[in-house]
Amino acid sequence: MLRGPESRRVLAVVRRTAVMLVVASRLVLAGPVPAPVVTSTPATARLLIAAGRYRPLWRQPVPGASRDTVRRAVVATDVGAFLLDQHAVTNDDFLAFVRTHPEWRRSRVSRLFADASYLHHWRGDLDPGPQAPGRSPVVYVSWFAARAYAAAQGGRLPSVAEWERVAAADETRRDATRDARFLTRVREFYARPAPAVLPEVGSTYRDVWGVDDMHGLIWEWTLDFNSALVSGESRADGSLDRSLFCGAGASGAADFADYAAFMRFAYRASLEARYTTAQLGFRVAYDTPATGSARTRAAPASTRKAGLP
Amino acid sequence: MFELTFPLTDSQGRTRHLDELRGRPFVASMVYTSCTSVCPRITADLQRLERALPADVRARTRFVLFSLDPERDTPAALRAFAREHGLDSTRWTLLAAGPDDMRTLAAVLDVRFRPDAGGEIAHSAVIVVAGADGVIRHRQAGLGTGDSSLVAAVRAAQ
Repeated sequence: MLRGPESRRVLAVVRRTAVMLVVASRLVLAGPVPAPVVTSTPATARLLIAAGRYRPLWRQPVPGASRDTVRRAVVATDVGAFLLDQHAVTNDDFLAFVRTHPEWRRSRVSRLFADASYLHHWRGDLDPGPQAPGRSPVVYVSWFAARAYAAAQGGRLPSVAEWERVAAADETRRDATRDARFLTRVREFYARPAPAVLPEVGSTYRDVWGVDDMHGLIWEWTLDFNSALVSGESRADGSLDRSLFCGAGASGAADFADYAAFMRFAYRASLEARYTTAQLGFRVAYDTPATGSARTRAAPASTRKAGLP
Repeated sequence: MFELTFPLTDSQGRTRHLDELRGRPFVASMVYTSCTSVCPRITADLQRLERALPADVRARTRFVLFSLDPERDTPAALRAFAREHGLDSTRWTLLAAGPDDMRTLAAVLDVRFRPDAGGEIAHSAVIVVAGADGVIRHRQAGLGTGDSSLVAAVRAAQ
């Protein structure tokens, strides 16, 4: 959505471009006038997300009383402050990216970095077409492509902790995950079949951070989506490691009513980085200038039952 | 895999590139040197595979370990690890990429990993077999499911 000063700037650019085109067409005495090239879309607003905590679904081993016992507890993660795109990356945004990064065009992308349905709903390499409206979120993009886009903007993908921290918010609260109505809304989104053509960004809701459509439009890639381990592969004793299982390990720790969070966990566990699907897109995160690299640190086990601040 | 062009550091501190592996098939996995759970078993599995190969196949095959923990897996740590496990340096290469590039590598090999509060990294056990052209021909997820399929895959990748 364009606000006052932004829309005036865009109109000014459009007017300047129109004048230049008229002048250019008069100067050219012979030969075709080149079509105007859209060189950039209005930059997506970035919202500052304050530092806070994220409580994951799973328990981790924490040192116990003796060497032989390993206690497991939910370890809340400190999430540093960061900036997040107001809305998901759109088809217009991604078109501008593939214009300047031809290696990410559909006909040229490496199969190492994207599967066969990469941007397959676009009409052509540089033509999203009617299945991919300009202001709708870009989908059918892989994690590698999303990362490359983010890097080109000077940003990165949000981590799971960062994304979930923002996703916990509704229109008025930073943490709405204790509200059954909020959880119901999110579950209803997951239950709906994907529309053939996605609606535009900003068409669902804006949360208390000013961020649009964290639920209700698409699923979103995260930097460490492949942290969703669902079996005890790393345990040398070979026994089932209940701390890494969604159900048994998390009961009593996370709010079991947040079925949607379990769905997302399972979804991430099913993804591979080169996959592209109909409802999977992304948005970009940025480190704040003050904190530089906003790494998430694992804090000591918290005994608080309270949710995120 | 040779489309990944980022630099890696080997156990001698030299800058290397994946493309240098071109020309010989290789077997690879991701581990980290301070791992006390699954990594020693991955390494043992790879060494068992090395012994199980026919001599001529073994002579042509490289074994590569990529670090999941570049911050702690310094060249010295990699050297110590190779020494502890008796890895033949003419055949084994240990490489560490930067944190972002390591994430890309894990995504390409489909290694799931998650650092935890205690400094360990929970991760899946993955062994890949690639041809001399760097194309992954075989992937095994999980431990100790038997050497015969890996031996067959290495022979097929020659």
